[in-house]
Amino acid sequence: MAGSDIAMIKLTISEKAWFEKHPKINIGIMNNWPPLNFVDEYGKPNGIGVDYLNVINNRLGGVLVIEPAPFKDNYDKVQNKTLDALMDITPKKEREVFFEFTKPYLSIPHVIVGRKTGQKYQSEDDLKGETVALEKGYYNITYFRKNYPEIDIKEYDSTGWALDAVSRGEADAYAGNRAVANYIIEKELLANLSIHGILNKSPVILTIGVRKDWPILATILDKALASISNEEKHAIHRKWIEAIEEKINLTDEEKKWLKRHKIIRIGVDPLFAPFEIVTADNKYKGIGANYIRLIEKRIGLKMELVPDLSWKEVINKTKKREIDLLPCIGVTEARKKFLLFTEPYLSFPRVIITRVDSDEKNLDNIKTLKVAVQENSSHHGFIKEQTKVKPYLFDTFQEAMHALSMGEVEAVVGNLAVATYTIQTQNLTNLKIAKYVSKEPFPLAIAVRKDWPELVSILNKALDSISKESQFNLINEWIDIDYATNLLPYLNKIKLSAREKTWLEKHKEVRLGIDPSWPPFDFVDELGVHQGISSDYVSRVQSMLDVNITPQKGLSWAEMMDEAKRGNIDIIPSIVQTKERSEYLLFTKPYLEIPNVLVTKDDMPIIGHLSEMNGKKIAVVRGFAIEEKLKTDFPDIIQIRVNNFEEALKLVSSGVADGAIDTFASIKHSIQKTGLKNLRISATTPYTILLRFAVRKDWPEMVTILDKALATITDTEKKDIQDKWTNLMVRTKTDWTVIWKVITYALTVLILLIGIFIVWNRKLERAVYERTIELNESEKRLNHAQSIAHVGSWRYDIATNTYSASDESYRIFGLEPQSIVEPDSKFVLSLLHPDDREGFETAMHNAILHNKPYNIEYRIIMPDGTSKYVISNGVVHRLANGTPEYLSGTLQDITEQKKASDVLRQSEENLKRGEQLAHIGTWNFDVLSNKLGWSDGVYRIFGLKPQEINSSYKVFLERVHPDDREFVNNAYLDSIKNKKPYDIEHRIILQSGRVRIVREICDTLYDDNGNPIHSTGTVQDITEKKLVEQELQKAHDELEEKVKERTRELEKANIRLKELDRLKSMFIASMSHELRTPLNSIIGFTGIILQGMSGDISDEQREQLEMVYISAKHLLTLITDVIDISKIEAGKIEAFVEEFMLCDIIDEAVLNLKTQIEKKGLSLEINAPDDLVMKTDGRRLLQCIINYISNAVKFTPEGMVTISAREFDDMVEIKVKDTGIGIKKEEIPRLFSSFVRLDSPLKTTVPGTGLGLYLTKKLAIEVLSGEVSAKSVYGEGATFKITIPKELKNRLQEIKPTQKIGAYVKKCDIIL
Amino acid sequence: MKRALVIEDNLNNMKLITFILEKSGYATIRAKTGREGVELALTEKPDFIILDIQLPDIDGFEVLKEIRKAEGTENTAIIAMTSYAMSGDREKMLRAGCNGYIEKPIDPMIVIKQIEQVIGEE
Repeated sequence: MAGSDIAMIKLTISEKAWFEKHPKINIGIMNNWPPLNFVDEYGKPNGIGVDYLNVINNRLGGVLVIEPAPFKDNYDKVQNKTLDALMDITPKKEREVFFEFTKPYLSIPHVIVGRKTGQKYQSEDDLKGETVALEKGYYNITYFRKNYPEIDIKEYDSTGWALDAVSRGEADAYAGNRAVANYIIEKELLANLSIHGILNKSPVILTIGVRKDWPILATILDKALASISNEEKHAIHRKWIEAIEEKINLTDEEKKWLKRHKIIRIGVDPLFAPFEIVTADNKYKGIGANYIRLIEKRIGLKMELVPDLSWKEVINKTKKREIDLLPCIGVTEARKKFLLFTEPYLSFPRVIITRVDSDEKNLDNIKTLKVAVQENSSHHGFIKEQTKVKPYLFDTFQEAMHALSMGEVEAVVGNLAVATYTIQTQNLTNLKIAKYVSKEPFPLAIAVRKDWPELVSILNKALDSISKESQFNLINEWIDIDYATNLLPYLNKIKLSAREKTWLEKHKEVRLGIDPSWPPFDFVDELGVHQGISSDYVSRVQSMLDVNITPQKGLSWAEMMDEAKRGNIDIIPSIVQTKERSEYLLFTKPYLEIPNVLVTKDDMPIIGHLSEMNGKKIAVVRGFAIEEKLKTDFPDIIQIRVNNFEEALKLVSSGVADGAIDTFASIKHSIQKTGLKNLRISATTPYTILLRFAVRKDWPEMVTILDKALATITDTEKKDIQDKWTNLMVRTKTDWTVIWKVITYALTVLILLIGIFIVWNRKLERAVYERTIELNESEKRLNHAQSIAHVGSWRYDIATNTYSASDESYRIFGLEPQSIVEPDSKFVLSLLHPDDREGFETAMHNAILHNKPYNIEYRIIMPDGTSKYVISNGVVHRLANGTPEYLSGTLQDITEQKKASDVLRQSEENLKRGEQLAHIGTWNFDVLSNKLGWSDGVYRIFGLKPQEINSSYKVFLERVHPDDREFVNNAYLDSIKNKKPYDIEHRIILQSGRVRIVREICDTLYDDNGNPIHSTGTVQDITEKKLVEQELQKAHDELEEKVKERTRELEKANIRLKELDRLKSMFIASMSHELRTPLNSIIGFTGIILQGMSGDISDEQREQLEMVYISAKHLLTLITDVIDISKIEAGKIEAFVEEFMLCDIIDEAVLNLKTQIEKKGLSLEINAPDDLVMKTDGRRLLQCIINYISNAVKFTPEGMVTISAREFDDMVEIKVKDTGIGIKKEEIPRLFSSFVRLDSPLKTTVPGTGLGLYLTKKLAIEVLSGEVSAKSVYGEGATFKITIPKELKNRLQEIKPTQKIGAYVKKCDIIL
Repeated sequence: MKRALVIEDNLNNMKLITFILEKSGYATIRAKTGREGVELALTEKPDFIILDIQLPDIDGFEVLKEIRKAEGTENTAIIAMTSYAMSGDREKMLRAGCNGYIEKPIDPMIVIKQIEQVIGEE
C-alpha cells in the first residue's frame, strides 16, 4: 500500500515552467451542493470535492485558490477565462467548447428514495404509475419523461424540497444523486426515508473542467488527481459516506447482550492475506479487519485480537471457547459443528493458478498435473473429494505459490483474492490465474462460538447496514478495484424489481432455442452439449436468475425457428433482430457486436481500408443493412445486389464482383457450404452485426430481466468469453482437419489459412511486442532511475572525439533525449559556461594523459539562456597496453543544492538584519564543552558591542537582575530535567545600570540516552512592549472598574425598578379588590331596590336611586378601564386563548346593556353567523364589543343599533352601527385617543370616562392582534368596526428590557 | 326548592347574593370561611355553590379542590364569584373545575340569569 507521503507529482519541464508563470490558480466550486461542494456554516468551503482539492493543493504547493459561487456564475467565468477551472463538472459534448476536462475522479450513481414503510421501488419499472419528486431543471426530468412516460413527475425547487415531499407523502419517491440525497436525508432528519434502489442510467461522473486555453493545467491536475492514493480516497469517502449510513436497529435483548459482553476475543489466520494480516506489532489488518473495524464502530463492541497464534491454535482455542469470534472464515459443514456463522459477506471463486507459460490444455485433465494446495485449507479438502488427486501440501499458500513459480509444481488451487494478492505482493510475475475451478463462489463469513446466537443476529444486522459503496471501499483497499468489479459475483448481483421477481418465480423452466451449427457463436458438440459464445452467456444468465434453462436439441436452426413461431421456444440466445422476426419474437438490447469483414478473391492484394474498394464492385444481399450503409459511407463503391450471401460469394469467386461483406463466422460457414476455394478475407470493415437474446412474444417481462442480467456482464468478461471461444475454435479446427482431410483437402487449407492468418498474425505481433517490451524494459528502468536521481551517464570516445550519453544527460542539458547523435567535444564545450570551458578541458586532459581523477563541477548554459550547475565524475578506460580508449562517467544536476546553499547564506544574512530590527538575539549553548555563543543581537541587547567580551553562562547570569537570577537558572535546569522547551520573561541589568525586560525562549537537543547536548535560544528585548502592555493594562483596568461601577449603579436601579414593579402590581390588585368591594354593595343593593325586590318605591325615589346606580356603574367602568390600560401599557396583559362561539359573546354583551337599550327604547338588530367559532381571548373581545355598544347606546337618542359580524380570510370583522348623533369628520382621527371626549350636544348628559375607545383600541391591537376603525356622517350616526384574527396564534407578550423603564414611567403617569 | 351554598367572607356581599337568590326562589346555606364551606358542602350536599375566591383561611382554589375530591360532590355545580383582580383568575378557576364564573360587582339585574345558565335552569 503506497502511503500518501511518498505520493509525488512528476511534472515535465514545460509543465514546471508553466507552473512558475502561474503562481495562483483560481478554481471554482459550487457554494451550495452538499455534500459534494458547499460553503459551511463557518463560511468555509467544504465537501467531498473540497477535500479532494485540499489533497492535490498540498501536492501542488498551495497554488490553488478555491472560489465558491453558484455553478452558473463559475461556469460563465471559466468561459470568459476569468476563472481558471471549475470543480465537479460532468463532461458533455457541448461543454468541450469551453472546457478541457480532467479524468473523472468520482462517480456517483442515481438512486431511488422512498419511505421506509410501504411500497419498495427497486428500479424505474417499479415506479410506473407512481408520483416521483424531481428537481426543477435537472436532467432526470427529461430522462423519466422520455423513457418512462407512465411515471407521474412533480417538480420541486431543490433536492431538499423534493425529498421533503416524499417524506410527507406528497410524492411516492425521489430519484437523484445518491450522495446528495443521503446527505440531505441525514441533515434534515427525514428519518422515514431510505434508499430503495439504483437507477439503470449511468452514474454522475465528476471531473475538473479547466479553461480551454490551458490544456496543460488539465494534465497537471490529472497527475495530481492520480497521485491521490486509495487510502486517501477511502478516508475522504468514509468521512462523507459512512457518516450517513443507516443506524442499526437492535432489539432490547440484543442491546442487553451487548452490554454484558463488552469485549470479544477474536482469532485470525495470520497467513490469510489479503483477508487477514497480523503485523509485527500484533495489529490486525486486511479486508476482514476493515469490516470488523466498521462493525465495532457501529455496534459499540470492542474486539481484541488474541495474539501470537497459528491458525491451528486459533481453531483449537475456539473449540475450547477461549476465542469468541473468527472474523473471516470459510463456511464449511465441519466447522458448523462448533461454530455459528453469519450470512457470508465476502465470496470469491476457487481458481487454479499456473505459470504464465503453461499450456492451458493440461488444465482439462488436472489429474495429470502436480497440484499444490495449502494443507488443511478448504481447497485441500476440495481436491481430495473432487478429483482424487494426491496434492502436494504446503504449510502456507505463499510457499505453494513460490513452489509453482520455481517450477516445483505445475498448478496451485486457491482462492482468487488470495492468489491475486499473493501474485501482486510477492512479485510472482510468472504466475497467472488460469481457470475457475467452480463458478460457485467460496463464501466467507464471521464465525461465532456456538453458545452466542445473539451475537450472530447482531452481526448480521451490522453487516446488513454496510452499504455497497462502503463495502467497495473496504475491499478496494486491498484488491484492485476493477478486478473486484469484474470478479466479485457478490457485488455483481442484478437488481430485479419486486414485480420481476414474482414473475420469475412463476417461470422457472425456460426452453432455449439454439443453432446447432453456428460455431463459434452457437453449436452442439459431439456429445450433444450446447457450446459456443452464447452458451457462456446463457450459463451466466442462468446462475444470476436462478432458473432452469434447457436447450431444445435435435432441431436445425430453421426447425427451431418454426417451433419458436409456434410458441414452443422461450428464449433464443444468439440471434440478429430482423423485421420479420420481430413479428413473433421480442428482443433484448444487443450484448455482442461482431465486426463484418470483406471477402475477396485470393489473388486480390490485401487492402487496408474499405475506401480502397472505391470504383470496385461489391456484392450485397438485397435488404441487408449493409446495403444502405455502403451507399451513404462509400458512394463510390459499386453495389451488385443479390438474393443471398452464397450467391454473393459465387459472384466474387467468378470475378463478376470484387468483394462481399459479412461476419467472419458467416463467411466461413458459406464457403464451407458452397465449396468455393479461391476466396480469402482481405480487410476489416467499419460495420458490425448485433447479437441479442430473443424472447417469446408473450414474455415481455423476460426481456427487461435479461437486459438487466446482460448489463451486469462487464466488457472484460465479454472479451474473456470471446477470446476463450476464438482460441478454442482454433484448437478444434486442428482436430477437425483429420476429418476434413478426407472430405475436402482444399477447404481445410483455406479455412486453416484464414484461421492461421489471423491467429498467427496475432501471435507473431504478440511475440514481437513482448520481446520489444522486454528489451525496452531494462533500458526504461535505467532511464527511469536516472531521471529520478537527476543523474545522467555519458561516454567519451577518445579516437572519434565524440560523446554518447543517456537520456537524462540530454535532459540535464535541456535537450530532447538523443536529439543530437554522437555530439563531438566542440559541441559539448559550446554548451558550457564560457568561464568554465578551460577548466573542463584541463580536467579532461589531466585525466587522459596524467591519469588524474576526473571530478569537476561546472556551469552549463541551457537553451533558454539560464545556467545550471552540474557535477561530473569519470573514469578513463584503457586497453591492455595502457592506451586510453574512452572516458565514461556520470553527470549530475546540482543546481538545486547550489541554490539551497545560496539560500542558506542569504537567510543567515537576513537573520542578522532581522535580529537587529526585532531587538532579538540568538544563542547556542554546547552542554559538553560548556560554551555559550552569542549572536550580535544578544550583545546589542546587553548593551555591548558585538563580540566585545567572551560569552559564557556565568557572564550571562551576572547580567540577569539579581532578583531574577534563581528563577532564570531554575527555568533552564527544569527545562533540561523535563526535556521541555521554556519561554520566560525576566529582567537584565545593562552596563549603564539600566534595567531592561527580555523574553527568553530555549529548546535543547538530547542524545539517545536523554542527555542534553546542545541548547538553542532566542532573547528579545521586550521592555518597550512591556511598558506599552502595562499602560494598556492600566487603561484596561480603569475601564473595567468604570464598567463595574456603572454596572453596580444599573443593578441598583434595576432592583429599585423591580421593587417599584412589585409595588405596582400589588397596588393594582388591591385597588381592584378594595375599590370594587364597596361598589359591589352599592350597585347590588340599588339594583335590588330598583327592581322592586324589596318592595315598591316612589317614582322620585326611583329616579334618585337610578342616579346612584348609574354613577356607581360609571365609577366601576372608570376603575376597570384605568387598571386595564395601565396593565396593557406595562406589558402585563396576556391573551388567554379559548374556543368560543362569537354569537355567545355578542349575546353576553347585549345582556350587559339590555337595561339601557330598553330604557332608551332603541331597537336592536343582531346580524351575526350563529356557528362562527373563534379561538382567541373571548373576555377581551367581549370588553371591546361592550364598549362599542355602550357608546352607540349613549349617543343614539332614538333609532336603532345594529351589530353585525362576518368572517373573511381567517379574520373576523364585527361592526356596531347606530343612528345617533354621529361624529364630525375632523374629530374622527382623535376618537381612539385617551381621555378624549368629543364636543357634542349630549356631552353634559352622557357619562363617560374618555377611556373606552382608547382601551378598545389597545385591546384590539395589542392583545387580539387586530385593528379598529370608525366612520360617520355627522348627524346621521356612526359605525365602529373591530377586525381581529379568527384564531390568535399563541402570542405570549414578551417584555423587552429596554421597553421596561419607559413603560414604568408611563404607568406611573396614568395611575398617579 | 333548590339549595345554594354561598361561601363568602364579606357580610354585605353575603347579604346581597343570598337576598337575590332567595327572592328568586332558592334556599341558601351560608359559610363565612373556606373550611366551613367545605364542611357544609359535604354535609348539606347543596344543589349548587357560589364560591368567593379571596377567603380568610383557605382560598377558593383549595375549597374547590376539597369539594371536588369528596364523594357525592364531585359533580356539584360551583360558580366562582370574585372581584375582577388579576386577569387569568377566570381561566384558572374554570381550569380547576369551576362550572361558571361571575365577576364582582354583581349586577342584580342579570346575575340570576348568569347563575341559571350555569346550573341549567331557565
